[in-house]
Amino acid sequence: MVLVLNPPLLGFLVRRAVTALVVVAALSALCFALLDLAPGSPAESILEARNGGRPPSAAEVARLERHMGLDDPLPQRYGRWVAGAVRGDFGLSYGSGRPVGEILAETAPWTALLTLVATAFSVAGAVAVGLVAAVTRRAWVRRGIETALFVLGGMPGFVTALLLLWVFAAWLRVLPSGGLARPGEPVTLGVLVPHLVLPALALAFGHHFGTYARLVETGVGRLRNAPHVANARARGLRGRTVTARHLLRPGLVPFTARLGVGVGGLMAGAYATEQIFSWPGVGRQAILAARDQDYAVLTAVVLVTGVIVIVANLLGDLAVAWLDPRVRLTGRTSDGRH
Amino acid sequence: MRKSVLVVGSIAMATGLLATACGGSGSGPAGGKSGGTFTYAIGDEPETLNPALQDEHTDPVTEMVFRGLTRHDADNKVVPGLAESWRVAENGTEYTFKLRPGLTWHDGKPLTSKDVKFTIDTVKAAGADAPLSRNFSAVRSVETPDDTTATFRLSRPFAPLLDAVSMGLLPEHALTGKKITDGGFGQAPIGAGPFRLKAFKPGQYAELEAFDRYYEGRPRLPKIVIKYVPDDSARLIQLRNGEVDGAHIQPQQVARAKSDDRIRLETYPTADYRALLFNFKNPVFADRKVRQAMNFAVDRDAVVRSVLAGQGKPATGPLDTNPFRSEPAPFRHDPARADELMKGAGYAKNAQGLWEKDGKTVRFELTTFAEDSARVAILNVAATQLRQAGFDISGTPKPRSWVRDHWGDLGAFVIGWGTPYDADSSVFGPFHSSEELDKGGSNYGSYKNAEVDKALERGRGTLDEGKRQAAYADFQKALAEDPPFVWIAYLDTNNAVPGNLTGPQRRTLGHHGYGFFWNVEKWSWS
Amino acid sequence: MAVTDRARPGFLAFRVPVRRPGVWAAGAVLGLLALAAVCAPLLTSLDPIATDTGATSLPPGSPGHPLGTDLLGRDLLARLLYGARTSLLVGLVAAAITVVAGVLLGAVAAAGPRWLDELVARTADVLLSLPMLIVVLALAAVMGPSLGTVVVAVAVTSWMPVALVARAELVSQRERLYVRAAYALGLSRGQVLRRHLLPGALPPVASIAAFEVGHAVLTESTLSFLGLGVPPNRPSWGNLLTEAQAHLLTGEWYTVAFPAACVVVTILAVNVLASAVARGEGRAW
Repeated sequence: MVLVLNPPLLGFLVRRAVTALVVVAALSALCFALLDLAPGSPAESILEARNGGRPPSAAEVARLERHMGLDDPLPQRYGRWVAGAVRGDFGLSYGSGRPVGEILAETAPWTALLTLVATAFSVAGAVAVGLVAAVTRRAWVRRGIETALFVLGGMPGFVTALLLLWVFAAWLRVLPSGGLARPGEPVTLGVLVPHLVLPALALAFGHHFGTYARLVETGVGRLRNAPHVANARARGLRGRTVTARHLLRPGLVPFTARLGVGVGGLMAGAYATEQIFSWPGVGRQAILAARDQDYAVLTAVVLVTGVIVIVANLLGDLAVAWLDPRVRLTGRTSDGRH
Repeated sequence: MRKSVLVVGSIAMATGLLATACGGSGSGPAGGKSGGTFTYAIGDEPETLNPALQDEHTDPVTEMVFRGLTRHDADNKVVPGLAESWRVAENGTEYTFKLRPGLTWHDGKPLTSKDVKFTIDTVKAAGADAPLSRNFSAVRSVETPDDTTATFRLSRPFAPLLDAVSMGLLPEHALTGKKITDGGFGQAPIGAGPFRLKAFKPGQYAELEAFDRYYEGRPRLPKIVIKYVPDDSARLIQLRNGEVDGAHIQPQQVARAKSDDRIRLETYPTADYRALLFNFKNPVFADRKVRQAMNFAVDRDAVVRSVLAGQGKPATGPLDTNPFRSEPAPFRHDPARADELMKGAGYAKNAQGLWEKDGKTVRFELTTFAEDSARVAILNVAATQLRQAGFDISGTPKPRSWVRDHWGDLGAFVIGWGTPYDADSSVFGPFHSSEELDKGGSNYGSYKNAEVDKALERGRGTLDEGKRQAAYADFQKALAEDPPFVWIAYLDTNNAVPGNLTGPQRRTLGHHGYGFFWNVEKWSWS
Repeated sequence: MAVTDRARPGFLAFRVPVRRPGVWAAGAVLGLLALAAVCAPLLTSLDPIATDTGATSLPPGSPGHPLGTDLLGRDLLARLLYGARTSLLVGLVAAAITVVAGVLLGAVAAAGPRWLDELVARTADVLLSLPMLIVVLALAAVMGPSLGTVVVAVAVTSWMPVALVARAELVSQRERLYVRAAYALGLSRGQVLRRHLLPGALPPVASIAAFEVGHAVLTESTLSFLGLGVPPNRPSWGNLLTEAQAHLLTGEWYTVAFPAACVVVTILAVNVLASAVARGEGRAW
């Protein structure tokens, strides 16, 4: 149950830490290269904002590019950025002039909270619904659940979000429609929880809930009549034990493998959700940064997302290994045949 | 087995219920106002609250926190702000501003002519960073003979100067040694306007308090909260369930908002127009008759009715809602006149019903920023109308960043310009030939007309009101003869406020239709 | 049990249970949608792009406009029919590429040498961390905005979950007795992969494949909305949805409901087919 830090696991973690560094380095380089390929100039966006939304002249753009060092060659700009980043300095936001680190420290915790709660919602919901669909003997229940999941999965995230908003905030008026708290109100737990419910539900159901539930259903469903389950039942094990040990644990492998990756997708989903629910997280920051071509902020957001994805994947791999003891963690994967 | 499923299921449900239960008790939607606070929701959030890094007084928070030497009245005429009076030398190269006595910054420090000099010097020095520095390029120096007198010496007469100094003054004591883009000042600014910034939470809200020592006396609203709600639908929901008292709303939402009798709708005209810009690098636009014909072929009322849900007015020129407006151009929906002009230009309808001359149709692509759905809608309707009128037009929106790299390659473009303030700032750049795209200017269509150039130079170079009016009248007449754009519509802007809020006064607003808070110091609850 | 003596079919030898009525119905629905897309000009005489300011915001059932019109007076039926061309093409092609590429990369990761496994997994990490928008902007800058760009963009940004599910499944399968037995019998890596591992991994992959169709349709709309795919004024189901977003709460519910229904019906049909394919493979343990 508890993961003890035995030597193979330790070795595995060290290896993963090293590769994580490589991934982060690759990510930052790729991000710089891709942003360089993207059309338009950040200087143009900055000036447009300072010009009351009017397009600036080419001369003004060129002048600001020179001033900000944006016209330097790519390797030089990347080198400058790396030199700062290793010291924890991600530069200043192009638009607001604030240190990027400060902006991230302000926004990242809210996104982390939202993603965490949304993941909890979708895991709890998906396991429950998926299990019911998988073990039920009534075909109409299973079909009903499957159909509902596909209707939910086919609905764009923003429609789900707006429907939730409309039902709970506008119609029933039991939940606030956005933000962390009312303006000026201190953000305490009691205030935060109701504000968190709708965006977390929207994020959970608008994005991966359907996929997750289906994975639980197929994962568990195909084990229902497996010999080892029948065997366990024949040995007289209680229904609950069979479900927990022989159905749920191995049956959740595909779902768990997907869950780690899903966090990456959830971060992407958080962009739109944060926008609709005025949630002050990195997602909203990323949308603004992309619109204003604030590459200093955008690059940092990408890196933060990268670190979260790496950690989530690591946890996912550990969980898969725990659920399915035949998978060994020496190195990235066990080789299986020896 | 079934039992264990139930266990898992009920845990999941319990989690959900717990969350909902907390929601029910934690906080109902905020009802009405608490302690007289006015809470207003807006979509766009400024990156910085520094008035020198904005234009056209668009951001409400910056407008409430800062004040300039001058300001604008309900007719957008320049009136005294922090300066109680000014004197302009005969030749227009010397302006002497007299500050009101006893002015203070929000932090209690006295506001003196040193701050005036600091502001102008800083913005001028910021060159590349602050586009507004172009407004002060004619200012050679600012002298401060005493604490309440600031004298501007200009290298040449610059008529829009009084307009330019409506930009909020910057406090020297808070910005000395810092860059103008300083993030700290941009988030926690100190101004001398009617409201003091109490808290600014990016992504959430800005909280403002009435400033006791504001020069016109303490404003009557004790507190204002500007809440940033980027999603249009969410803003309407917050307005309807009372989470906010007022909101900036979209044209399509007007009918919905009107149905709520606690809400009063303030609909103001703006100087923000949309038009189809011709790129004169395309020879098909060489003949002015063709461009005139298109100006008679579009049905502007239909655009206003459909795209703007009735919230706008047909446009015939760049200054229709500006203080310098003159006789409007004759453009209206008149298919017969359009046909006549096209025939006069030597075109005839071909088999497909398209105008054709020497085997060539009036073929061009109309584009706009794909991200701007209102402009895309205008593109769709205008393209349909022009095609039905026989112009070989296709409409293809493109990404903003792509457009920025390809101004010179565009056929036609749905553009937006316009200002409610001094005309110069929004007509010289787009229409003077010295501002052509290839010369690094913002005349994106490379429009060139000698009469227009002359009129624009006259309007900028004299201080005489009458002569300026005449210059801009000539300018508008020349544009109507040789249209650079197909003018489409001026947008109206809609703000919902509670029925018992008094004070908001109608004024022609600027870009984005923001500037609703221009006389906020006079607002009160009735 | 019966399974032990049943011959395991090869990866490509799917047995689709043709006698199940659901499968026929699903196939028929997809076929009809595709037919409607191809024959759009025959089914409506209205131009899906031309606006008609004299007939804006008509409700469904209006004369000449059976499904109503949008705010600019464009006929919704015509827009849905022409939109099906873009959406079905992108949805099905991009999802197919995504799933095939994901399964192949997952298989390579699971069966190949360790460095390859690392490479696939870390590439997935990098791509998962990059906002899709950045990837697509760069792609569009290189390839130009087009439907092809959209398909490539969807595949490049969404193969990772499929690959990781396939890989986890394969790694887990690999340890099972029948696979070890197959190796013991002297089958090569490739043979084992094709005949035992892939078919066993199919059910979970099939169960997310249908969602990939929906994902592709909606991604197309996001990209088009930004002008990176088909121009945002050309109809696609996703575009219709995005355009209607603002009107969800202002009474024109049908502008959202009809395109959403099209997307959901397509996903349901693909799912029925996908699960049938997966079930045809029998149980794998």
